[in-house]
Amino acid sequence: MHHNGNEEGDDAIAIAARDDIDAFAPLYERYAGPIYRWMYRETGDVDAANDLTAQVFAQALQNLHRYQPRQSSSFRSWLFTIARNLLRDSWRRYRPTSLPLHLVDHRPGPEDLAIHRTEMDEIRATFALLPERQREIVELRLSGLSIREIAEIQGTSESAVKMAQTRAFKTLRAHLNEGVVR
Amino acid sequence: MTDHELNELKHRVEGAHRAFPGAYAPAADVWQRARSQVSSNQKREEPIMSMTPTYSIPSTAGRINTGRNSNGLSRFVSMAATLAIVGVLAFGGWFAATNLPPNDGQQLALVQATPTAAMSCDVESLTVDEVMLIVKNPYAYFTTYVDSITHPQKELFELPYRPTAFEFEMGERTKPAEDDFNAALAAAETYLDCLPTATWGQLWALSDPFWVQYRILTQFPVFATEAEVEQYVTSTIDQPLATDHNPVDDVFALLEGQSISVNPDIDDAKTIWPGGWSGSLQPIIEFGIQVTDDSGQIVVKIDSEGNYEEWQPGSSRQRPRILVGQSMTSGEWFVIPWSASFWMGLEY
Repeated sequence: MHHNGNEEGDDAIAIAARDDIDAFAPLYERYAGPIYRWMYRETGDVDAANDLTAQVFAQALQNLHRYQPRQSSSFRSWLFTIARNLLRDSWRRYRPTSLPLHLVDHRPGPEDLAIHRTEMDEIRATFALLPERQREIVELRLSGLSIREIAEIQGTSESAVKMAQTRAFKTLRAHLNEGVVR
Repeated sequence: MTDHELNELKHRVEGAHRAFPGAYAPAADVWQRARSQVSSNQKREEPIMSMTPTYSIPSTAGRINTGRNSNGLSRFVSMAATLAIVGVLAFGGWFAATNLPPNDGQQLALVQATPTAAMSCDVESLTVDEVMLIVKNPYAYFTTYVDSITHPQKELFELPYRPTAFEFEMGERTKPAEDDFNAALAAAETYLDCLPTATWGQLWALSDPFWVQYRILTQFPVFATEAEVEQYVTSTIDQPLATDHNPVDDVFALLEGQSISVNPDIDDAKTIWPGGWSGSLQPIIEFGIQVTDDSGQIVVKIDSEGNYEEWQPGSSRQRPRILVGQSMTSGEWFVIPWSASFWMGLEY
């Protein structure tokens, strides 16, 4: 795998953080946002998303000694695997609250806020139409992961990820508003 | 998908997050919350059972040596009627309101409280080694039943670790072929007859290996060591299904004075998901169920789409269905239990 600068830096930070938790802070700054937003899209709830994000990083910190930098893997894929597993494990506690497309929430409030709230609902409801694996691929792509990293996380081949991604975007194109995913 | 499409979607999604208070970045205290959860004494040196492909699974050759896998494909085709496996779809839960505990929103599986004489379970339990093999790679488990794999996605069977990947595509629902219907029906009936008296090992033997993997791994926090999983499997495999833990989703509902069976009308069954299930099961046949009272009268009868053909006042208004799939490699029929947590991509 061709690591970019960030990924090489990730490994060094992760190794240093085994003995000094505070050394992990740059990795938190780098990845907390994408993970939080993924959790938010899955749960539709700020508190749940914050809680899950905290758990992801707590799990990562607790298991740093298990992370072994390898040529075929990356810290990022390892971290997002934790997020994915925790999300699955927490599913029953944080049941999604997104609505079907025809029941999109039009709660009152500033007009622009209402518009974006509807947009978020639409995004979440559309993602919910995807089978789990396809949705994971979309979420991980949105979080910046490569096809190869996703294949590592899902334990499958890159070609299988590409195929599932193609199917996922076909579904998204069919359901999201025109101009969103052309 | 092009990079442009991905970027366009990213742009829209990020915009939606930024526009909604609290939806873009975690709260300021999240890092401290994570940090405070870390305890130095929680480090463990054992390998972990996670969804990461970090495992080298033991060679299946010579390790699993039960009667179930000794004769390859032909044996399992012939075993379809006797070892066939069925899934109970408690989609939305279903119960006879007067007999069951309050529905708090969890899924309910139907099992008769008092098994009839005809209800017994002589299905051979999986061994601990077989269950562990499933946990590590359900695909590898399939390969123990065949001499050679000609599956179009052969690579899936050879990966060192295969995480759960539930994948299917919707498609036209069609009437099943008669042979498939008969084999799947026998499997469904075996499963329902087994549930009241089965052990977990028997239940796992009747269930889709992907579901077995999922069900076992979700008993743990995010990480579990192989030793912990094996300990759980060893301690559970011979236990009867507890009344507070059903195979579907944690609530084991009991029916008193009523009998549950598979809707036996071929016109009420449908073959679904023409692309198969997770690259492993095809065809998939969905059945409705029927419930009869003490007098033998059918009080509820549901087709594979959840439509009522019979419904007596006072009976359930839920719509359980049973899903059965045939291994594309071994020919064996397996249950695909249906639960909200298993069907993560659908339950919205």
